[in-house]
Amino acid sequence: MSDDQGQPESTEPDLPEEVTSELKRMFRPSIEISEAVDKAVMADAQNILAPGVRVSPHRPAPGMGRWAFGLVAAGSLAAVLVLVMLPNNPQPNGVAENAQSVEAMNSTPEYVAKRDIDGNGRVDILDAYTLSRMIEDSTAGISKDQNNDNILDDNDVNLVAETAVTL
Amino acid sequence: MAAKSDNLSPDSRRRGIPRVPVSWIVLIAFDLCIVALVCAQDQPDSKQQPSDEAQVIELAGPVGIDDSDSQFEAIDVYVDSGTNPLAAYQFELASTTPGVKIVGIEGGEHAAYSDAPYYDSRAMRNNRVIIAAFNTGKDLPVGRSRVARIHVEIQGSGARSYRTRLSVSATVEGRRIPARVSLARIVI
Repeated sequence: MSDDQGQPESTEPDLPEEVTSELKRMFRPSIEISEAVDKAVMADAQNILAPGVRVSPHRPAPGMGRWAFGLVAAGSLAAVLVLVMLPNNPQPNGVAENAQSVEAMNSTPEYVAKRDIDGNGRVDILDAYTLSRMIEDSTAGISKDQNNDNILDDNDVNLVAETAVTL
Repeated sequence: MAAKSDNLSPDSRRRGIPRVPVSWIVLIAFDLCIVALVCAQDQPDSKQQPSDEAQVIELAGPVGIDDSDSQFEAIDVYVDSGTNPLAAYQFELASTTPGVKIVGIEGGEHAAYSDAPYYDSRAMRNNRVIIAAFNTGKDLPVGRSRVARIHVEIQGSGARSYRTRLSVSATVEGRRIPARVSLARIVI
C-alpha cells in the first residue's frame, strides 16, 4: 500500500485510488459505541416498539441464583427424607377394617422378613411348616414370635401361612 | 452495540451455549438419582415372584346354558409327589378364561389334608387363589392325592382354562421334592 508509514516500499503494483478507498471503507475498524449511546438507543427503541412496557434485564437480580439453588436443594433433601421415612407399601387410608389393616401390616417388608423363617428370601408354606416343627421340637426362639405375644403357638404359624397365601 | 453475556464462557460464547454452573449440574444429577430411586421402588419385588413354571390346564365346562346363566361346579386339585410323602404344598390357580368365580375351598381326601387349606379370603368371588397346607405328622399321602377342592361358579357354556403353578412341594423335614399338580372337573 502506498500510505504505509515507515514501512519499506511495497513491491506490489499500485491499485487504483477508487479500489483502495473502497477497501479501506470496508475494512475500517469498528466504532466503539459508548454505554450512554447504547442506553439511549435502547430507550428510544423501547419507546417506539413497546411503549409502556418495562424491559427487564436478562440477568437475574444479584443473589437470585443462589436463592433458587437453595430452594431446589432444599426440595431435593425433603424428597430424600420422605423416601427414607415412608415404607415401601403404604398403609390403608382412613378407617379400614381390622382384617385389611392386619393384611397391610403383614405385607410390610419388616414383617415379610420376620416371616421368612428359612431365610430363602420369600415367604411360603415351608416357612410355616418349619416354624411349626421348631415349636413342636421346642427349638424356636422367642425371636420367631410373630404376633408379639411372647408365646410361640399355632397363632404364629397361622400368621406365617396366611402371609404365604396372601394375594 | 456492545453485547454483554456474563453467563457465557469464552468457549460457549462463540457457540451460543449458556454456561451451567457446576453446582447446578451436581444438583440435577442428584435429583435424577432420586427419580431413579423412586422408579426402582415402584418395581415389583422379584423375590416374591414364584420361580416355578406354570402350566395351563383346560377343563370342560357347562354345556347348553345361556351366557347369562351360571352353574356351580368344583375343581379337584391333585398333587402327585411320587414315592415321597407329601408334607407341604403350595400352588396358585387362576382362570385364564372369563366367567369363573371361586365360591368355596375345602380340604382333600387324605386325613393329613382334610381340613380346609390356607388361602386368602379375597379369592372369593375372584378368579385367582393361592392355596397351601402342611402337616408335620407321620401319616402323609404318597403318590397322587387330592389335596383340595375348589368350588366355582361358571357363567355360560364352554371349556375353561386354568393356569396352575406348584411353588412348594416338600416331604418330611421340609425337604423340597419334585411333584406334579393336576385338576379334575366335578359337576355337582
